[in-house]
Amino acid sequence: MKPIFDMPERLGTYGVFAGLMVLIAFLAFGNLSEHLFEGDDFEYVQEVGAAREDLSMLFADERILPGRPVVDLLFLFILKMEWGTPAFFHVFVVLLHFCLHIRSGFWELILS
Amino acid sequence: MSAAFFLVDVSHFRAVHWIACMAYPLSLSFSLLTVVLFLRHIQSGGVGWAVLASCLLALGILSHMASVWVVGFCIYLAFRNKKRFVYAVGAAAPLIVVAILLGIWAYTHSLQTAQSEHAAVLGGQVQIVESVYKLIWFAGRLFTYAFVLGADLTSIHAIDWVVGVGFIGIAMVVIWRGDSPLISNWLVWTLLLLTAFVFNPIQTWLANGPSRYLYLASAGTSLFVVWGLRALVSRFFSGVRCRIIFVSVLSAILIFNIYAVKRAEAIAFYLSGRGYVARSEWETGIDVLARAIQHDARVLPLDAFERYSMGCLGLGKSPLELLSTVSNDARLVSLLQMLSVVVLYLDSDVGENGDRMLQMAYEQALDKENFRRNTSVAFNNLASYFYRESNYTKTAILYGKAVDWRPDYDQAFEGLLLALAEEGKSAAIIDLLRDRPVGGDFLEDLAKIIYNTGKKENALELYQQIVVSDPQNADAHYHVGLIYGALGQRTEELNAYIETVENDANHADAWKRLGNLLYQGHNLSGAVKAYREVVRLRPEDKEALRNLGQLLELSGDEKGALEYNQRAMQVVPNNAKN
Repeated sequence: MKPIFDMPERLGTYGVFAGLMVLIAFLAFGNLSEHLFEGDDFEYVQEVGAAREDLSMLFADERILPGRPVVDLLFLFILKMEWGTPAFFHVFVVLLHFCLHIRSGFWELILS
Repeated sequence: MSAAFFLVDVSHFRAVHWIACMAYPLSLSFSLLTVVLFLRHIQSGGVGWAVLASCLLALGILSHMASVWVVGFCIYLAFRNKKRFVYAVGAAAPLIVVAILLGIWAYTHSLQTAQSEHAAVLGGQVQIVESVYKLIWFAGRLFTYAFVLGADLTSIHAIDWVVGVGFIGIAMVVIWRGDSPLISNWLVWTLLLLTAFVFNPIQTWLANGPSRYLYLASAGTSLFVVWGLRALVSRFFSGVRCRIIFVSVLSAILIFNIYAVKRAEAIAFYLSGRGYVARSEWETGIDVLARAIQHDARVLPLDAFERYSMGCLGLGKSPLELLSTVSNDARLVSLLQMLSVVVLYLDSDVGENGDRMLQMAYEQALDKENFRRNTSVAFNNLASYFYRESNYTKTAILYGKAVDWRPDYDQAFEGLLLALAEEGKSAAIIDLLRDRPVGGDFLEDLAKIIYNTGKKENALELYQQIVVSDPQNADAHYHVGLIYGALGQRTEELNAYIETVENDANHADAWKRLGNLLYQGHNLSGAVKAYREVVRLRPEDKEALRNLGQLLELSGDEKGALEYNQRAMQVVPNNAKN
């Protein structure tokens, strides 16, 4: 299938693309930073917070979201740095998603 | 462009809106890196790439178990490369080992909690038909979320069926024909990563359906959408017209998705508010629920409005100011009719008019059981507000109405009893308790409240009920003794204290009062025995030491009397210690 647009492979093109994506992300997720915790967030932050004193808590029997040590460690790091506000967590997830969408775009091409 | 679709894809909104779902973006990150490194491995044959891919797969699985399914995708990619299954499995062998080992670990670890998402699988509850049903549902939801917002997101709709079956059918044909390897690859990815979640339970109370389960799969469908659109437009148009139509449709879909993502934020507000209310953080909960309603009331379930209303009443506020802005919502007719009457009780006693208006609203309500429940909770919450304000007369009236609307509402019934106790209306309490007994501890609380109001006879009647239902309750026997003492009935008082110490030999107060009574009854040896118990339990009770010394002196035990009198003199008063 022929491409519909013949986009030039220039840095400027990628710059415009990135700018557009930032704008779209801002429009879609701009005010997530105003959201608070919800659902399991309360228990999760509490559990990982307890693990700051005793790491074995991460492997305790009764956990809300067990078997995800990578996520636990990331939460632990955020809490350790005293960034554990709902606003920071929300912005962090949006940034993670934003980075992922850019990478997924390139990887889709790699897989071709 | 497909990346832009993935960015604002409404189907996975929960994975971005919900902090606890951070596992999904993390898992997808590691999974995609695994695939890229695995491709390097099969292209170059380098073992280092395979090791790196295995490490990233491990991180992916330890972020979320769904990453295990990426191994299947890697085997598929290797198979496409050389068309040999043995080669494909061999190339993916390191990944397979990692997936089996860590997959089992994550699986068994998640089983240790009752809330595990995967517990049902090993519990032998895997049902093929239900899994296929969910696969179709999830496949449909990848495209229909924006359209079903506002409906019940936790159940499958006709549009989900049609789109789901259509998508799976098209995906099968495209993969089979293999004309476009890029699209085929990502369609396989989508189907595999949807299958990863078909065994998971859907929690209906979350009100958002399978949204977060679609995160990993949606990385594939975003490309499929753009590819499908391009194929469709190129088929019918060419040149400038093709470009204009392509860009227009693409922009429209993007804008529609952004709009849907914004609307879906109301669900996040609702679930957040619900969480705060559940944790008794009423003010915050009500504020967040109000934001949910202001944000987009149409996507919220009825529960959001009910919780907001009940929360407001619990804080002594009227919910009607906000709810009147969404009064055109047909779901709210009964709720608003009921609330318009209940809020009148905030300012005055509406009396029989209120009952009549509520009865009329009840007759018109479509869901009568829900109306009864809501009305009783509304009265109960309003009563709890007036209880905190110490307006016990109004509290009792409102709790009474809550019980009228739902006779089996224990919380309201106990509230009613407490309000009556605070008012000292013990006769009414005893009347109510004849038809509906309550727990011993609660009864004791009521008896204490009534005792403090000064109505000793009625308090005595309640305490006697307690000792009948729980003969070993030493405290209740003790209070019975206290009340008999206040009423001047010495024999009954004495018997009650004897019962007390028989059930609790360490009840120092009962021993002390028993000692006093025995002394008054000229039973010196009995009084000495009782006081010895008091001194055993409270070695620094100056009064008990002195009384015991005097009793021993009267009994002719001068040595003992001297000992206890000296001990009494050595006791330093508490205020002197400080």
